[in-house]
Amino acid sequence: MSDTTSYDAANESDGWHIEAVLGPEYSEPVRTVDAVVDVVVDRRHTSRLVQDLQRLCPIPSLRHLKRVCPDGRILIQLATDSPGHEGSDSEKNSSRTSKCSPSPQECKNKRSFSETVTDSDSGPQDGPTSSEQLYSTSKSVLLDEQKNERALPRGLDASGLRGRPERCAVPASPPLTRAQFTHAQRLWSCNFHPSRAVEAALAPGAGVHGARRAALLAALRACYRTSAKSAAAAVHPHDGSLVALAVDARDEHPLQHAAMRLVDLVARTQCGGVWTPLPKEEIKESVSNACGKDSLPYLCTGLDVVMTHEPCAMCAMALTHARARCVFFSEDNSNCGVLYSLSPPLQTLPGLNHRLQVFHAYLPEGKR
Amino acid sequence: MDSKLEEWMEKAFELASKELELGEVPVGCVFVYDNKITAEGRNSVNETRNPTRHAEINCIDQVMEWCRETKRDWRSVFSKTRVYVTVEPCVMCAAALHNLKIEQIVYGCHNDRFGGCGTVMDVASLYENPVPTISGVQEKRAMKLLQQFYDGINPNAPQPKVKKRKRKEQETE
Repeated sequence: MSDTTSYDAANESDGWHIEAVLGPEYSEPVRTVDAVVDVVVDRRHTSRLVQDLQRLCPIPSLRHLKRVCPDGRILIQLATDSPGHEGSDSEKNSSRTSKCSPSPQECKNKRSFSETVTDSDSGPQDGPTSSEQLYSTSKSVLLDEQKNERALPRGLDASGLRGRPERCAVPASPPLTRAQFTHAQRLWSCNFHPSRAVEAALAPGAGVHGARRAALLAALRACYRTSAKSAAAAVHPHDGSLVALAVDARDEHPLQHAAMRLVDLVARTQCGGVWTPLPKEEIKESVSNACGKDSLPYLCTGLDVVMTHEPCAMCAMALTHARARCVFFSEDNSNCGVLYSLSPPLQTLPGLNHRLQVFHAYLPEGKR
Repeated sequence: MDSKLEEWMEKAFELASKELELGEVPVGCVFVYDNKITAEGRNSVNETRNPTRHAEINCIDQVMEWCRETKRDWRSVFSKTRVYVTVEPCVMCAAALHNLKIEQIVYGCHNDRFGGCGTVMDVASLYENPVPTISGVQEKRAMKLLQQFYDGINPNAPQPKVKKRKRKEQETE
């Protein structure tokens, strides 16, 4: 089950809790993995060392890390007993991380060190002299004398290195949130690509407030009033009016879940649509008459979708295709829900061209 | 192995090629039941202004209609239906096909944008008894059709911001 991050405003008087839903990986502390590191004592060798190491022992699972920290510490390889050493887990991880993180080589070329060390707590910034202090904070331990030999890869010209490799815990995966990034930076210099949607959902006071909140809850009540098995409604972002309300008809037709019908009803307001509206369903009159003049530019772009139940994979993807702005559901669905009950939830998958914002609305005592 | 697999895929490719000429996304799909085609799908997203009207979804609607007309039980029909489609079904279509307990899915190239058979998400892993799936049938041909389409412009899609900037640059030049 996915974790939720609650910034629910207690002062909202309607009694509902509305939480932004992100995967558990967004609230977890940074996981670490042990790596072998050394220190560059002669900075003139940094560039060559990075290139050589990249060639001799690339670390695909740690592409989110810079090869060299500003304090001079340099990443040699994963510790021999670490998971992912010699490609066991690293293959899997690399396919995930490779898309968003430039390789250490690229980082070096961009000289992007400076932008990632602006955090005040990221440790001493200059000179290998100050690096000694940092070791204590990142809990590195001297390797056994026997292992020392193996710690540096064969064929590496070690000039410029201190030549005393140590073991050090480094972030195992790319940071997803600014909080994780700040934490990860304390361990090792790290790449970070903030997602505006994620940061917005995590910001203090984020959530649904004021008129939008009232409109969404009104739509949710309208959905429940149909007393259908499940129902979904599309709410106009400007005036909070109901664009369409659809009910579930899966018993008659396996595709006609509420969200699938809703997308079709919204298409009907734009002179499209395929299925016939059912008696319990609603379509905003003014829109359906004006046909195209007042309607939204494309599909459900920007619309807020309210649902009585967490959508399944088919419905969640239909809403993604329709480019709905947010999905706001009340009851979770542990059988086939994919926005809250699945881990990682659909809206966090890399590769999708549109990302739904997801909110879970519930009454704490289960009253409705 | 399905002896007529290539033949049905050929049919799907014919449909996809026709789509390219009409300006819809070139995806072709046929549903085969009892060695006969019960539905021929094409994407009708732009026509219906409904982004869920993918070839597979249109085919399912056709089969439902056919079942109603011939008074057949749609559950048993779908469980003996094989689906041949030129492009990997998206997450939505894959979920729909798994829900229907289709007999088999056969597809051509991967769908990097929304593929639901492992590319963006492996929908099969959500099901206890997922539909057996064959991929990569005439992959290059399917990919080429898609490339031809995306080289052209979909007039109904919102303009990506990057393109706008490029256009401005071109104008100022």
